[in-house]
Amino acid sequence: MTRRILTTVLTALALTAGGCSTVKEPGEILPEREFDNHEVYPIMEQLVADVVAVLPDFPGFAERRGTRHSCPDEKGNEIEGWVSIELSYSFDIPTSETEQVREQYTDLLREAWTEAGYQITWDEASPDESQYNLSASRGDGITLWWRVWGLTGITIQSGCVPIGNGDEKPAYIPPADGVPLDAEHDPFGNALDPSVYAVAESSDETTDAAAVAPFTDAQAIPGQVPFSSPASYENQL
Amino acid sequence: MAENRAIEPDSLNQAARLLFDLADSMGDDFPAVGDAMADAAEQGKEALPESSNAIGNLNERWTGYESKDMRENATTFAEYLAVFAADATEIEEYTAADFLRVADPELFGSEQRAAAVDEDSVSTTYQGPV
Amino acid sequence: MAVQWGDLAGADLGPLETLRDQWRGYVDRLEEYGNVLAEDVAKHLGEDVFEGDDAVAARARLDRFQTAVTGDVLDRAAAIRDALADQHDALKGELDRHESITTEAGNAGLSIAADGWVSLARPEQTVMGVEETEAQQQLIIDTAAAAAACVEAFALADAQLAAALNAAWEVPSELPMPIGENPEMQDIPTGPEHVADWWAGLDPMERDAYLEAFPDLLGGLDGMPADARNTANEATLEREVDALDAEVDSLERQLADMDARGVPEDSAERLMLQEELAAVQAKHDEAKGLQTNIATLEEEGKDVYLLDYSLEGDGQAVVSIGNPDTADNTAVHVPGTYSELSNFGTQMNRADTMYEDALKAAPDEETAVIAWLGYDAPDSVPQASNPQQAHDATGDLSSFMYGLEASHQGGDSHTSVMGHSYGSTVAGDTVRTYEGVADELITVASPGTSANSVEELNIDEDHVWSTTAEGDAIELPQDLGLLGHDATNDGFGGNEFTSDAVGADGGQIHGGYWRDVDENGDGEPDRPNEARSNIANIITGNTDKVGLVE
Repeated sequence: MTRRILTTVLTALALTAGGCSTVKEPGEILPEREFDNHEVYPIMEQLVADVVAVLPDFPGFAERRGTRHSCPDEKGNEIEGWVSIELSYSFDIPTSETEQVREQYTDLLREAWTEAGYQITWDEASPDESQYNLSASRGDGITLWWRVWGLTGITIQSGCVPIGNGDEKPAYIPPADGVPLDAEHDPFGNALDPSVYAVAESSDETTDAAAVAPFTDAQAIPGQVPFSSPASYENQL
Repeated sequence: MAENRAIEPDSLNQAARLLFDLADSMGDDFPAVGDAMADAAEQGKEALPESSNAIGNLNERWTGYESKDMRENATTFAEYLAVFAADATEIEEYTAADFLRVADPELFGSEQRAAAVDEDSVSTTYQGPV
Repeated sequence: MAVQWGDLAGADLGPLETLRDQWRGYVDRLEEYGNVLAEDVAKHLGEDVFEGDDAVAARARLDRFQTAVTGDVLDRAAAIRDALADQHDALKGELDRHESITTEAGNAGLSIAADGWVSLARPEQTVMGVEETEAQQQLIIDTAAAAAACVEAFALADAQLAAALNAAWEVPSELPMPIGENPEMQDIPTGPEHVADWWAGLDPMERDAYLEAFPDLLGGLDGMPADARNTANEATLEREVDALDAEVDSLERQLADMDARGVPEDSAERLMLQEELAAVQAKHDEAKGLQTNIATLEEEGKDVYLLDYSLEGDGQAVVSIGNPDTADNTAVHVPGTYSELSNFGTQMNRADTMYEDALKAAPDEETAVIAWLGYDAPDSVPQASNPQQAHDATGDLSSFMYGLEASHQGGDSHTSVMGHSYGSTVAGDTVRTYEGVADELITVASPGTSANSVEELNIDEDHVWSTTAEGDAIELPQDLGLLGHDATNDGFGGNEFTSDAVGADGGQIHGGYWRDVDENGDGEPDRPNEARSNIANIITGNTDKVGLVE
């Protein structure tokens, strides 16, 4: 009996650990992506710009933060050559508490993302109904997450993407509407390469929900987006 | 780390001078107290056995306390300030760790320090504005 | 030998009077020293003449020195002066009484011997048969009593003076350590609270001296503040990386030398050297990786503190994102099986995710999230079915948690201890074994908490939180309960919060609690994991916002 239990445990823990079986190649663990980190980052900024564009009387974000995490295998070991980027913009606390951003904007984004053909993947209040999560999938591995928490704001997740150009940082793109250009409000700016500069603009200056439509086909990005001048890359999309 | 800068190096010299003087005063003032303690401890052995013994201990401990701790504090502090003032033009080179090192004769034995900590030359070691 | 009547006859209070006067003068001089430090020296070290970190340190030292001289030193000296004055007066009074008793006894025809015996001054009267009168007898008794009282009072004054002088030394010196004096390892206390008190009592220069002298010890000493630990550990890590660099270079040169000498590829000598080089290179990469991971987070504007690390064996590390000494909320994440320094970046990233989420959940509060690999995690499947490594870690984890409390500034912090997989066995066993470890216990994908029910844990069941995603491979060992029961077990007690199953199989799901959900099964993520918002709300104390399993 003891032996049988031990065998079962070992089997279970082997599963937990990913097993001692065949070593999986990164391609087997992680899905193929259409873009690398240098390419996906401007798309993420563009998505933020487009979120701003569909929100009327936009009060301006207060902060841009971000993370760049390695992609681990089942044992927690880093899969070399892959990274996951998460980009978050938040309003300041007083703005985050307004009905405009917590409710109206949530409804507008739900509508805009649905019209854009995105799949709404999370649309739920917390048990006490004081927080709200609205997320949408573009179908290309990029996720948009509208968080109505203590802070309200947009988080864009790249999912795991290959690292292009070695250790080079993605090109610097100034933060979206309202974020002061300093380290306190834009700490993520440090993680970008200031020697290469690009500007994110709304793909359509109107507040029409269709403004996000151009991004439904991310395959339209032809490889490396040029960043050599503060020009918009929107035409590349 | 914030840049270190002596805006008025001569002021540091004066602080050092005061501390050296203080250490000297401590050195001058205390021996008479120590002698009195030694005398009282010796003379009172018969009639005042308890307090004579305590005075003897006090003499030993206070002498160590006063000379080793107080005077050494004043002296090493003064040495530090003197070195700092003397080398004011390179003051940003110093860090808090140097604060300790420069005052330790075994670790910092340059001629510059020797000049700087010469009590008589303290006020003249300042060479010019920062 | 006790003081006797005759000793008083020869007593000379002259030396004591001199001593009293010397101390009077010395106390006056100490007051002058204090004034010189507080006014004259301070004036020459003001912010208008001296600025920078060293200037701040210099002013702090001056303040401490001056406070010691006018406080600690002056208090002792004044106590000595007063004791000398008071007891001198008492002694003088008894000597006067001695003289008076002697005079009166003589006038009455009595004599008092050195030992205090009183008798008639002309004893031949008794020899010749002349009886003492009753009056004489009474006088002898009274005189003897007065003499005894005098001797007793004199001895008492002597003892009181001694006690007062000794009392001046009961409290250790508060003087700062002189500049340049070497700090002593034996002065460093043990126990988080004592360590925190000791460190708080040092001035900035003393702290620098200790950090420079004992970075290895202080870097990992629970109760030390995070910034000091970080300073010590970063310096030590840098030195170790440099040393490993040099070792790699040396081994590579030796291999090149073998090439030149034509040593065969398969020679034992060469193979051993290659093996050694690989081991040193791996250690170097682990150390360098830790530095890089910290730098990556710092580049994103985060305050990162290296609270402990070790390159021994599989390697260990404790890294905080955010300052736990000032945080309103602190969460300690304990990773599980297969965790080691070489993959610690994954645990730092998980802590980073929780840190970022907490900032959004409680933006008006400060949060710190710590990845704590302060134990030897199982690195094989059989090891992970044994609770011993978890139990061995409980002492270190509890000490670390107590240290966080001891070094915390400004009131209590809301603390959570959280474990993933085998790390939850460590966290659970620690909360079971020690009291007051944390405000919240969070277990994620736990194979067992070491306890059979929440009653065995030193924490209220309202503050026990657990989750296991559907299909997680850990469900099998959970059912067997070899590591105690998992907190999601029916009847265990506590709260079970929701999380999404992320991954194609039980193994992937087990590691997927901080990963995004692949909703449509195409292999690409579609939405954030619910576990993230729930964990953020637990560690920030917003527990009414936590989604619970129905």
